[in-house]
Amino acid sequence: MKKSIFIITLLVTYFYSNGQNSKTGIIYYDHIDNHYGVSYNAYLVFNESKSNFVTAMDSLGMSGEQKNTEDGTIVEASDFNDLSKTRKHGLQVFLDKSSDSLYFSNAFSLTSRTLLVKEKKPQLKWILEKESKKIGKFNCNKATVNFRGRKYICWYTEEIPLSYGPWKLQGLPGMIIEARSEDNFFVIRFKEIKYPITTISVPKHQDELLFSNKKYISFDEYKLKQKQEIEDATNQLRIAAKKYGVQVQPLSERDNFLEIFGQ
Amino acid sequence: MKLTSYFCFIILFFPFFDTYSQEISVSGLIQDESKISLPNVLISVLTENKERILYQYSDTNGNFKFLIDTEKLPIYLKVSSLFYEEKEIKINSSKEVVFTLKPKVEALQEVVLTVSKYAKDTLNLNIEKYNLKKTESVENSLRKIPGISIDKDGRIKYWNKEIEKILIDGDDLADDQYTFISKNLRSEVLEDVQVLKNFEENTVFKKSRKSDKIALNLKIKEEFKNVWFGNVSAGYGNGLGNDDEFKVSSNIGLLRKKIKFLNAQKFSSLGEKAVPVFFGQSEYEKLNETIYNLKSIDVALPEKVTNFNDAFGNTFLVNKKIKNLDIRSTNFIGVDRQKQESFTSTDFFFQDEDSFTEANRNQNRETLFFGEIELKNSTLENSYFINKFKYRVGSNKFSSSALFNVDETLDNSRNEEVSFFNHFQYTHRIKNGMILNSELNFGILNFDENTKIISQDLSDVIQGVSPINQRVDRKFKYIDLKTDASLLLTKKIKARVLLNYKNNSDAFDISLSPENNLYSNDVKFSRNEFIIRPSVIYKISRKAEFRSGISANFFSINNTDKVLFNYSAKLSLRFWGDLDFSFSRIQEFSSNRNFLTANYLVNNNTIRRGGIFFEPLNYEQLKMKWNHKNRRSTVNNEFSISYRKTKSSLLDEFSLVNNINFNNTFLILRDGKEYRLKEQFIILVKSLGFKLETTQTFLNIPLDNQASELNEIYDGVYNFEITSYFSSPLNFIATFEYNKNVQTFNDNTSTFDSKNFKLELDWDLTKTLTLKATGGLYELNENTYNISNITLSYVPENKKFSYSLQVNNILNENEFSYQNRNSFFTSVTTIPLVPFYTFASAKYIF
Repeated sequence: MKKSIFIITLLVTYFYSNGQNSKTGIIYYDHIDNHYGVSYNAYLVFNESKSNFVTAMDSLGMSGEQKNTEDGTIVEASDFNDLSKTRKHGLQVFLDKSSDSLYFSNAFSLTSRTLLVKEKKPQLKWILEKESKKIGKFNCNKATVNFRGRKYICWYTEEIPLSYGPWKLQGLPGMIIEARSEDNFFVIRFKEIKYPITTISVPKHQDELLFSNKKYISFDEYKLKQKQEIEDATNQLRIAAKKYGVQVQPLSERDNFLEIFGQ
Repeated sequence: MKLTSYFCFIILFFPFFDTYSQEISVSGLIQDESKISLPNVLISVLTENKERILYQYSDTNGNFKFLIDTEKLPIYLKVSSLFYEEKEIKINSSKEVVFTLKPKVEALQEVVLTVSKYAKDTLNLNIEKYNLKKTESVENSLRKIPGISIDKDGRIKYWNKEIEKILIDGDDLADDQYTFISKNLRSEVLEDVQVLKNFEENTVFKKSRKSDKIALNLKIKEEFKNVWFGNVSAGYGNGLGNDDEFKVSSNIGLLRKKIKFLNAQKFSSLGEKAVPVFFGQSEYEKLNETIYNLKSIDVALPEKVTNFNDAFGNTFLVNKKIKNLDIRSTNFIGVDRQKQESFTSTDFFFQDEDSFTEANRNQNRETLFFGEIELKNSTLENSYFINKFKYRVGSNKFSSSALFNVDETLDNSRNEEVSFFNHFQYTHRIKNGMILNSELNFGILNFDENTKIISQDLSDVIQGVSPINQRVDRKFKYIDLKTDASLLLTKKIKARVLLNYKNNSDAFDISLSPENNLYSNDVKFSRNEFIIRPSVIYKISRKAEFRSGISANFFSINNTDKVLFNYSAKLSLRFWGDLDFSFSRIQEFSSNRNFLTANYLVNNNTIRRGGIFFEPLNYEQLKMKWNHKNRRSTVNNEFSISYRKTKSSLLDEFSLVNNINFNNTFLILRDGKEYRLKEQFIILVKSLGFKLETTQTFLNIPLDNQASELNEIYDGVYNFEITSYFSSPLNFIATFEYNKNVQTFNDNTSTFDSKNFKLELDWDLTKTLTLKATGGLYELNENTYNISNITLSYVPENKKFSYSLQVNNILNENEFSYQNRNSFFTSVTTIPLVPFYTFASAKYIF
């Protein structure tokens, strides 16, 4: 009895003394990207003031390398022709509540370079719906939002009263633990939550996301790059179509990009 | 002035604000016990029933502020955070509140097992985006979908990669004879078309290897499942020719989960053929060339312009599931009755005679029964088997009357084929991921031919016999056993080994009656092959890859033993664009027919014979290809150069004596060379795409085994193409092509050239009315031919009937000429064309 009181006191003191910064949690998600037909292990790591969402760092699908699957069989490489669907630093979204900005990395295609972008924190006009359901032990409520050309249907739980969520979806009266776009282009499913956790920490500053001497570009520049990418990809399609004698349509922004700017 | 109106505004509207929207302000501060302000804490405004009406997160200074409608009072203010204890207070009026929160010790631990269901390797083509007509065939709809190309025979490619098969809701009905589906099913039943990448039916392979095969899956609309559906169409046409044109077709289908069934029937006099081109067949199924043939034409014009053909066909496809077995069957019967006239003038390069002319008038009736039954089990855990049994029963009757210069020749021939093929495959996963795949193929092919020829010229050669009767009896039996295994040696090296045993016997009995020893081939060829083929793929880096394979074939033909040794290597680099270097050596034996040493007749004026010299064909090839594009992908350049050195080759020698063509086939054991250069330049300028392409070939080939002189051939093809990418409903493709060919041997030179210009227009006049026009201008020997066709289709929405109007050969061009050449002769063949006609048809769907 004495021992357990001692341990509890010790624990309380520990959490107390570690103050705000050490209170870190992580949510693991299954990120289904129906554009590339792949499922990623994604995670959101958060503390009181910051959150960082990371995806495409580790693939659940066949990655082109030998891999032991669940049923113990060995998956062979397909003559090494596969494009890797993951990247070293993954794709991330960093949110600092004390700042007006949101920082994210994205790539327009599997072969294109990672872009690091700074944008003004999007103000999402959430519609809170009456529907509710249970995900694991959490009671969840439904909320929808129209954001950059797609409608998102999200499930958040007030039992975790934090404004965070996967990707750029945030600002609900509770953590978003499931989300999908209405057309299933983007799907996020809850897998696991751990809080508190000490083995992983939230980046202290957005600059921790930078790598290889990269800098954040502005959101206007990013949108311009997306427009250029559509033009370039359409050109590529037209060239391939000319080689093979097939018809071609301009690359569709809706079918190839999560955020639709319609520029 | 401005100020006055401002005051008026306030005076006018203030009372309304006062009456309808009285608000109180509730603001405050969140802090912890040491008075440090807490940002990012959730503050909710709740009603008396504890329903949330507003929420906010505290700002960086821990502040919050709400404006609350007085009607909603009293309210509750709830403060919550994962890190602090919750607090709630009741509010009745405007207030400033300070919440002091105590830290909370909370642990969250929850795991939910999810099963990922995502459309891996499936690409939905979203067909509703394109202007598809519900009554058109799936084939015609697929033509409008980006990335899909369909050739003259109906072969479908997706971004230049040929598809394996077409599935209907995941079930296979026609295997590689997928044109039975694409040509017959109408597109209205389609919900969507999916491209299945990494396509593999073998369930053991599917689990363990990625494949580079693709297939199409047709998703069927709910309303067409479990009901009988079909269509009937009829059309009639007439024009300047003497014949009326007819086309009647009907389809009926039932698609259920456990059984799928399609039947299609067609009669047409519009030139299209009933007997389809079979593709994707095994080497044994391709062995169906007859010995004696009708002279056929080979011209790149649409069938409806060149063919005088009546076609009848019926196709029956079924797929049924019985417990764990999938049973699939395809059955086809087709009859083509074709008439063909041609006039050919031939110059023999090494003979001083004037042009040799021949006029042929042919009639042909081809009947084919074809079918297959396939059984497979895809439900076993660690193994997979499939058995395919095919039969082919065919009969071909033809006759021709011909004039060679002035001598008349009549012939008539009948040939029959009865063949059976069986393919069995068994795949099993052994421990540790090793996979053993074995295939067994066997079959019997029987060919029978009877030909009668009345020809003074031929009788003069064959000792005065008239009429000449040639009989052919050929029996071919084969067995083919294959096993392969593949494994990953390291993370970057993959190896594969293939073992293949082949045994076949091919018995020819070709004779004339009365008998003539010079024209009698009674010979049997027995071939035995044992092939070992290891290959390796080495991924050197992200930008470099090396592939190599060697194969040893322990080969014997009629007790003559040879070891055929082949190899190939390819290095692919991704520097400065895509750069490929490859080198290969091929040794192979030509077909048995080339070893028939006595004479035999192959058509109404050709006598052929081969040689008994059992040596393999042998050549080496070196190739370099470079593809480069600019950063914005508006310019693409591809250049390739290849060099081929032939050490032994097969020569088809032709010479003409007294209107009879003597064709000797023999092996040449001297070196020949071939250089080929290809340059393709594509540039996009706004909404237009330009392609400039040229292929230059230089050949140096020996024409006999003794003399030192080589035959030099140069062939140059230039192609210029413009494509429009307008967003308007009218788009076009225009192509100009120029071909020049020069041959030099012993200081004799002969040349020929041709030019043609083609234009294709697609115009969606309205959503229901489409116009398609194609035109070609062909120039040959100063003659110009202009061949144009127009099709107008009207498919009203939500109606059972649809209509189309075709105008064929608008300028009523009555003939067309094309050239042929080989090392020994050049020829110009002129064929009559189907005269101008209009054809109207209606289709009813149910």
